[in-house]
Formats: sequence, C-alpha cells, structure tokens
Amino acid sequence: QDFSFDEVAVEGNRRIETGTILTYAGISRGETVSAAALNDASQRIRESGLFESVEVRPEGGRLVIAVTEFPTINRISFEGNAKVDDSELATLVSATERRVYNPAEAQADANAIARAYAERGRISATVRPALIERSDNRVDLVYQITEGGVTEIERISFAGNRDFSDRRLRGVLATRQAGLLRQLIKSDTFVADRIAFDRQMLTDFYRSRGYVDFEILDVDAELTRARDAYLLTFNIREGQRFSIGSVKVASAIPGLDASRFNEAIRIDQGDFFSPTDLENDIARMERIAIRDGVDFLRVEPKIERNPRTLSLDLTYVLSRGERIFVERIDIEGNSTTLDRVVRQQFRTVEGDPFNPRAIRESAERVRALGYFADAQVNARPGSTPDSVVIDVDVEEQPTGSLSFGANYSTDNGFGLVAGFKERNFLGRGQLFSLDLSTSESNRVVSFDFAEPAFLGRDLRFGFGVDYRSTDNDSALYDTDTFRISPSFTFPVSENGRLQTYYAAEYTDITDVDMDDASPIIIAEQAEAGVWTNSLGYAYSYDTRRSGLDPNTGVVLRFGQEFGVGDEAFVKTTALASAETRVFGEDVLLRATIEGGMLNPSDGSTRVTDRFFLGSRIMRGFEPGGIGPRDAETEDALGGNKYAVTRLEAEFPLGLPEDYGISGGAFVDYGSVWEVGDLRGRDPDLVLYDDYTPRAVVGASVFWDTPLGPLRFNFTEALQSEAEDETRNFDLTISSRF
Amino acid sequence: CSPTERYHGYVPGEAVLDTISLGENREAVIQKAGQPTTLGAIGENDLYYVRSVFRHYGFFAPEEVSREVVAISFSPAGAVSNLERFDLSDGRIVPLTRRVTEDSVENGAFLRQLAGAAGNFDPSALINDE
Amino acid sequence: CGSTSDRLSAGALEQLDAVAIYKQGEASLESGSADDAAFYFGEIERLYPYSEWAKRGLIMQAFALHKDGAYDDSRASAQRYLDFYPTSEDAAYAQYLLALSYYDQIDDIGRDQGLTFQALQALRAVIEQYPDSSYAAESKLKFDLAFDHLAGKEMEIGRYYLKRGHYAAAARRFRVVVEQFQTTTHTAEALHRLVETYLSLGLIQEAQTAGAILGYNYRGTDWYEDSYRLLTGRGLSMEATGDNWLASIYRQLVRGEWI
Repeated sequence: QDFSFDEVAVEGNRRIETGTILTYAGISRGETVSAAALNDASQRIRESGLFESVEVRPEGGRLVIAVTEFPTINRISFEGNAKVDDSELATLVSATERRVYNPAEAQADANAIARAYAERGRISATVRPALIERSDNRVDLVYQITEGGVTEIERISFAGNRDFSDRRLRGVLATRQAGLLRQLIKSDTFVADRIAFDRQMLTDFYRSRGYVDFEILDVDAELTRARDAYLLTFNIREGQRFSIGSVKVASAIPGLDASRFNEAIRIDQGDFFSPTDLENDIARMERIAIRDGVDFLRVEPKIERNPRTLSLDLTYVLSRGERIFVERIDIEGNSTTLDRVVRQQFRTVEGDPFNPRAIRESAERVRALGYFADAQVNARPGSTPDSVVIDVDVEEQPTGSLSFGANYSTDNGFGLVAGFKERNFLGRGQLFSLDLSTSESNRVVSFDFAEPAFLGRDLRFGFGVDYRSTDNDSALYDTDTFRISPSFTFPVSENGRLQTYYAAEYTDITDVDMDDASPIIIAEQAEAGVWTNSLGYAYSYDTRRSGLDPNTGVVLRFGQEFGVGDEAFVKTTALASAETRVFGEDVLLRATIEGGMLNPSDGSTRVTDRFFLGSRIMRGFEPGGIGPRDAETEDALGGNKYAVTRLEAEFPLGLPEDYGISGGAFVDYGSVWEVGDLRGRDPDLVLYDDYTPRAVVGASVFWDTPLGPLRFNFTEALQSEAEDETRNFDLTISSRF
Repeated sequence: CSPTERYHGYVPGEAVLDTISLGENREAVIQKAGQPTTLGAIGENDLYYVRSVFRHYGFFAPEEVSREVVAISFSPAGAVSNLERFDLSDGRIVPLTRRVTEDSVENGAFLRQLAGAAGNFDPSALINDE
Repeated sequence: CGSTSDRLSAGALEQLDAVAIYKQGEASLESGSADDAAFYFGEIERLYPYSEWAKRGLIMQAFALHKDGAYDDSRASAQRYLDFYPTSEDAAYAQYLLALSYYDQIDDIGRDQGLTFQALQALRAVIEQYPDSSYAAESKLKFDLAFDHLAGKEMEIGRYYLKRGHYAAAARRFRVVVEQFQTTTHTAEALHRLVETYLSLGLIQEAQTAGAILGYNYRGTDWYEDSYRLLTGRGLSMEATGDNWLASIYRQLVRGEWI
C-alpha cells in the first residue's frame, strides 16, 4: 500500500548528518511513497557502506529512519608477524585509519595477508581481524597472525619419461630439491603457482626439442606426515619426436610474390621442430613487410604431419589481415618529457595502416630512451570499428643528478666534485652535463651537450669541452690538456652508427723535475704548448639489444683521427667484442680484443699523445704501471701502440637475488709499447720498448648497491716485467661499455 | 650505406577504386575503400586517401619521394560526384609560419627538473675511473 | 630536515579538545607550515570524529594539503568530505578543491594531457552541481583555460606532423581543433595551418575553403594575412622570413622551438 509522510525523522546517526542520510534515502515530505520505494530507500542507505544496520519504519504520519553507524578506525596494527614486516603488510590492507570500519573489508584484508604468506611457502598461516573498542564509537583494528612452518619439497620424481632421465628433467625445473643451503635458497619451497611455472618449463623444454605431442598428464603431491614437506611426482607422456620436412612460403594475396620472404626463413630441413624458431621466422617476415611497405599482412604457419617419416611439412601462408587504421597516438603521463621526444620514436604516423609489430618496436624504442620507469603502449578501439587509438602511458623517473662532495678513485685518490648532469634536459631529450672535479692528482673541468634529434632528424649533435691537468706523484712532470670537440652521429644501417667529429686540442708538459725526470720527457717538454687540429670518424656496430637472438651480442668499433696541419698524425683505435649467455642464461661469457696505433707523420710523439693503459683497458696495474719506461728515472713513457685481449665470465654465486651480489673471473693479456722517437736517449736505457705481453688473471665481485653497480676486482699478475707497478685491488663502476 | 624507405598512409587498390561508381553514398564508399587518411576542411565532406614514400639516407632530412592522392568528392546530397588523382608534383612548397599561439600556462619545467635532480646521486661522479 | 620537530606529538594532542587542535591547525596555516596544519586538521577527525570541528577540519585539511602542493592527498581529503557531507555548505568548495588539484598540476603545453582532461571533468562537476555557488564562476574561467590548453596540445601535435611533411596526419589534428575547440584561441591558427597543409598536398580547393572560413570569422588576425598571401600566389619566400639554416639551428637547439 502507499504512504505519505508529513515528517521524516532520522535516529541513531552520530557522525553522518541527517541531511546526508535523507539524500541517500531520496524521500521528501508530502511525497506519496509505495512500500517498494521504502525498501529501495533503505537499500540505498545500506549501499553507502557507512551503516551497520538500517531500518525504515513508517509510524502513522511520520517516517522514522533508524541507523547504527559503523565505527571509524582509529589505529591499524599487526601482531604475530615475524617473517613479513608491518610496512609490507600495510600495502596489502585496504582498510585505512580514519575511514569507516567495514567487517567484509577487514575479512578480505585478512585473506590477502594469508595469501601473501602462502606465496612464501607458509601454507598453514592463519590471519584473524580483531577489534578493540575505543571511546566515541571508534575501534582499533588488529590483524592477529600465526605464521606456521615453511612447507618444502623433499623429493621430485617423474613417470613416463623415456628419452630424458629424471636427473636431466630435475635440472630443467626451477624447484630444486631442498638441498644443503635450505635456508638461503628460497626456490624449493612448495608454492602452487611455482608448480604451474614448472609445468610450463617442462612443456617448453620438450616442445622446443620436437616433441609436438608432449603432455603432462597430472602432478600429484603427497604431504609428509609432519606437514613440512611434499613428495612431488610429474606424470608425463612424451609422444613422438618430429623433425622438419619441407618449408615453403605461399602467398594468398594477389600481386604479392612470396619469394621476397624466403630470406626470412632460418628453419631448415632436418632441424627438430621448435615453436620459438617458428616465432622468429614470422617476426622476420613481418619486418620485411614493414621494410617493403606491405600493409595488413598476416603470416599463418600451416603444419602437416606425416607420422610415417616423423616429419612436419611447414608452410607459411601470407594472407591479408583486417584492414585497420591508426586513428590517433595519444601520449600521457609525460610530465617532464616533451610530447615530440616520445612521438619521434614512432615510425607509424596517425592515419597509417595499423601494424602491431611496428608498434611493438616503437614501444621498445620509447623504453630504450631511459627516461621512464615504465612505458605501456597498447591499442584500444577507435571511433570506428576499423580504427584503433594507440595509448602511450609513460611514468617519468628522475633522469638527472646534482652532486656536490668528494669522490675517491683508486687511480687518483680523494677529490672534490661538483656536477650537474641531466639526460633529459628540459624534457627535450637533450644531454647536458657539467663536471668540475679536483683531486690530488688531477683537476678536470668537462662540459658535455648532445641533441639526439638535431633539426628533427635521426642525427645526434654532440659538443664536448674538456680541460684536464694532471700532476700524479707517480710521474715527475705535470700535463695540461684542453680539448674541444663538436660531433655528428647518425645511423648507417640497422645496428650501425657513424660518428664524425672535429677536435682542437692543446697539450703542454709543465714543471718537469729537471734532474730526476727522463731526458726524453725533458726533450718533449721543450716543445711546450702544442695545438693540434684533427678530424675523425668512429664507426660502431652493436647488436646486443636489437639482434634477433637475445642471448648473444656483438660490438664492433673502429675509429680514426687525422691530425691536420703541422701536427699531422693518424690515430687508429679498434675494438671487437662478443658476449653470450649460457647455462640457462645464468652465465655471461664475453671476449674482447682492443687495440690502438698512433702514427705521427714526423715520427715523434709526446707523452701526452701516447697511450697509457688505465684500469678500464687492462686491469692489475697502477696508472702508467706498464709500458715503455726510462731505466734510470723510472718514468712511464707510454706507447704508440697497444693491444689487449680480455676474456671474462660473470656468474651468480647462488645467493638469493635480492642481495644483488654475483661473481666473475677474467684474464687480461696484452701490452702497450713503442715510444717511437727516443730523442737521442740510449735505447738500452728505455725498457720494454718492444711488444712484451703481460698477463693478469683476476676475480671480481659485482654488487648492485643504491650507489650503482659496483665492481671489486682482485688481480694477480701472471706475467709482468720487473719494473711494472702492479696492483691487486681495484674498485670501479661496472658500467656496461 | 643504402637509403631506406618508409611508407605512410594508404590508397585503396585499383580493383577497389574501379568498383566505386558515381552516385554511391558516402558510407558505402568508406566500407569499400577503408578509413580516409584525411577529410576536407569542414563537416560531412570529401574523402582523401594519401600514400607517401619517404627516403631516409644517413644524416640527410627524410625526403618525400613519391605521393599518391585519391580524392573522392561528394555532392551536397552525399553521392559520389568526382574521383580525382593527384601526385607529388601537384603539391606546393609552402613556407610555414613560425608564429605559434602562446599557451596561458607558464613553464616550470627547468626548476622542477633541477629540484628533481637535487640529491640524486650519480655513481659515476663518485668513482671517475679514468 | 622538515619542520616536523616543533609539531605536537600525537599523544600530546589526545589531551586537547577539538577546538584547541583546530586553533593549532589555523595557527600553523598562518605561520606558513601548511603540512603541519594538514596534520592537525587530520588529527581532529581521528580523535573527535563526531564533532562539528571534524567536519570543518576535513575541508581545512584539504585546503592545507593543496597549499602544501600535496595534490593527491588534498584530492583524497576533498573526496572524503564529499562522501560524508554532500549537502553541507562547504561541499561546493570541496568539489572546487578537487578540481584545482588537477588544474594546478597542468604544466607546459608539451606535457601530460591526461591531467588536463581530468581537470576539465572535475571543473565541469563544480559548474553543473553547484551552479549558484561562488566557485562556479571561477571554475568556468578555469574550465575555458584548461579547454584552451587541450586545444594547444592538439595544435602542437599537428605542427609536429606538419613540420615533418606528414600533411594528411597534420590535417587530421587541425580539423579536430576547428571542429571540437571552436571557442578556443587556437581556432584561427588551426584554419591557417589547414591552408598550409592542403596547399602542400595540392588540394587547392580545400585550402580556399579553409581560407574562406578564416576570412569570415577572423579577418583581423595575422593568420588571415598569412593565408591570404599564400592563397593569392604571393607566397613568402624562404629567406624573406629570415629562416636561414643558422637561425633555425639556434631556434630549435637552444630555444626548443621547432616549427
């Protein structure tokens, strides 16, 4: 039946205002209201989530709304948690102080905490929310936690494996058995999603070796009586192993001949079938489509199986996919970076056909800028069915550093440093860096500026000014060098870049200790300050990031600098390095050959021109510790030629990842030699002027600290000369070259 | 190093264009030919499909080496009235005006970036391993 | 090294009554430490949730946080105020503060447009839900500015494509400004850019249409003169506009402009 009220009264509300409750109820005086409307009103009030109970009672002409409010939370605390600290738990909990207490929410939080413990292998953990009454209808919310023991895996076994042994398969799985370092290595605790991860690892292992029909029937886990360990058994069916029969490309698009795509195919007859090889072929074909401007290409692999020969015939069918266009590219979250700096990374323009691979590659380029903590690029439906909008959501991160203070370098001792460096200056993607540093043995003022997209092109303009004066006590003379150098760098191929530069350099040798210093240096000092002008180029080829095989990378560098005018010289430097990851990507092996040659046209060079091997090129020696040396005065003279080979390995030490510590070993072999013009000095008094190789073996510890990736090198010289100045310890930033 | 080419925009194939007849309505044409690369100056109007090829070579500015424009114009009643083709030679070299309408919001970028950088520690400054 | 040292500890506050804490908050606001003020106003709500002061404290907390530049927290407090007291007299101010928390973060034109969009929606909420409040007028003004800023973003992207010779893409963006942002200060420029774009594509007739609209609505502007010169054949030669390569390098490299 219907009601109409001349008065609406609200009872029991303390914090929430009557007006608020009336707006939720939506009933006003004099309005005729049906019974159903009353229920809706009370439902609306309840949905506000502010009230423990809501009752709507018509009393004659009056409508009474009786509510009891939920208490508000005064404090939230956790009890009984030892393994997980309060701050981490706080992030899991949605209830917040000062807000209304809601029992359902508190229970959901308790379950979230229990799940967090289960993920750490503590399945038997229990969590209970409890309330402590406080004055004024306020409560303290306490999560009472009982953590329980860790459930580990005792033994893993397999049933149904013919071609691979249990031991080999255990190696593939991430959850190794509870071994010696049980407390340290967390990876063998029994966790449900780890088992799912293992199933995937096992499947990938088999599938990538041609076992097309491989299947995991089931995984059963028996709990030991003491509930602290599980016995795991994987029941698998391997199926037959298939190899590749014929490989063809067929085009279903009129006018597109398929032969152009043959060059993309690396799978060939006789290989064992593997999904990743297939994926790489398709990726290469899609890249060819971009290169040749073929739009809307879809590549579908058709596989026919002939059981008789256990081989698969593979045909890549090229067909025309859906015709979709890019309506807009919207960039958001760039609070500092200019829109064009991000948009520049996209080769797709608004209105172009939509090509998913091109968009993925552009996303990679945006991330490679290094200005963003995160860069999500995805396509969402546009205003018409056949158009999409590309959403680019970036999250900025600080890209600059402003540092004052002291620095220590094993080469140069303590020093004062002031520097401002910004990699994304004014959000324009420009590099701006100014460094002033003084230490006992050298003073450096260096300024660097670079604009990566000069005049909007893929052309990097660089400009560097560098003043360096050294008076290291290990040599009896001081040197001043001032160098100013503009440069242009541009891509010449997919992975190759060419830098061309001009450089003006002033070098001077000053306050030479007349009686102790080597006569050669005294003679060189006579030439006093020398200006040299030079033009140079440096070609670099780097496939580490963009190469198809993510695990191996090659870096080649070759550069020449030509002195012009009266100080003519040719300075050639070259470097070749290859690195690859083995043993399941845990171990990195790297081999590098590096060399340099300085040919002065008039045959004479000075100590400021010649090469000295710092710790970045050859480890295990003091600066100027090896190379030609004056027998009497022990002055290091440097050399016109150097060649060094470095073999390195980096590998985990088995410590948990969050320590950030890994180990390494290396061998450095090579030398610097040939002073060239001895300026009349008796050759017998110039030691090691010819190529006398040194060899150093060393171990290093890498430690990722908030300061940066530090590298501690411990070296031992296997083969060195009497007068060399060796060094057994060295601390550097292990920046990737 | 050889120049590389990049393709932009889209022009429907000859086969599709042949099926478009005078008098057809605008929706049918878009259904056949796909989304236009751009439209006319105002309101419901002509469809323009533009296909460009840019040549990228070393440090030279990218250069548009070929352009195909298909213009499908409609009568006020919305029926196809004309189908024309243009190419790169029809385009004019236009000196762009450098004036820009200023925006009301001032630019606090540098100060904010300087503040953001203060206190960050650049490890390479600490250990200059020459 | 914040100034939290002279802030009263939570324990000390337990003894004070709601009014005293509120006064403490106001004193901190006067003395310029907005973050202390926000802390005090928050404590009232925690200790005396039912008092009238809790309600006033909440809106003052939102204001103090905003003054302190903590826009996200200010937004959260304003939103809580609107949840609890949607009908109170300060609700309009709370909604306005919410809008300001987005608006004051809008930065230079080259920057994040997502923020601008949220500011527009929040400002529109103030205008529509509290039309006769004193904040409606102020919101209308800020709404227009934010709307103009959004149009500026579209123009900036249009010019990006125009400069790189992607005329069709540029035309799309300029058309968006002409169609959806007529009331902004950018429409005149958008029409002129359309003239430039269509001429570059060789679509003379469309260029003339755009020029005609520009002439009809914005006859007195520099944009119209530029278009007029382009359309009547007496185009500006490159040198005439002082655009030799050295000037353009300086402009783009140092000043960051790049048209």
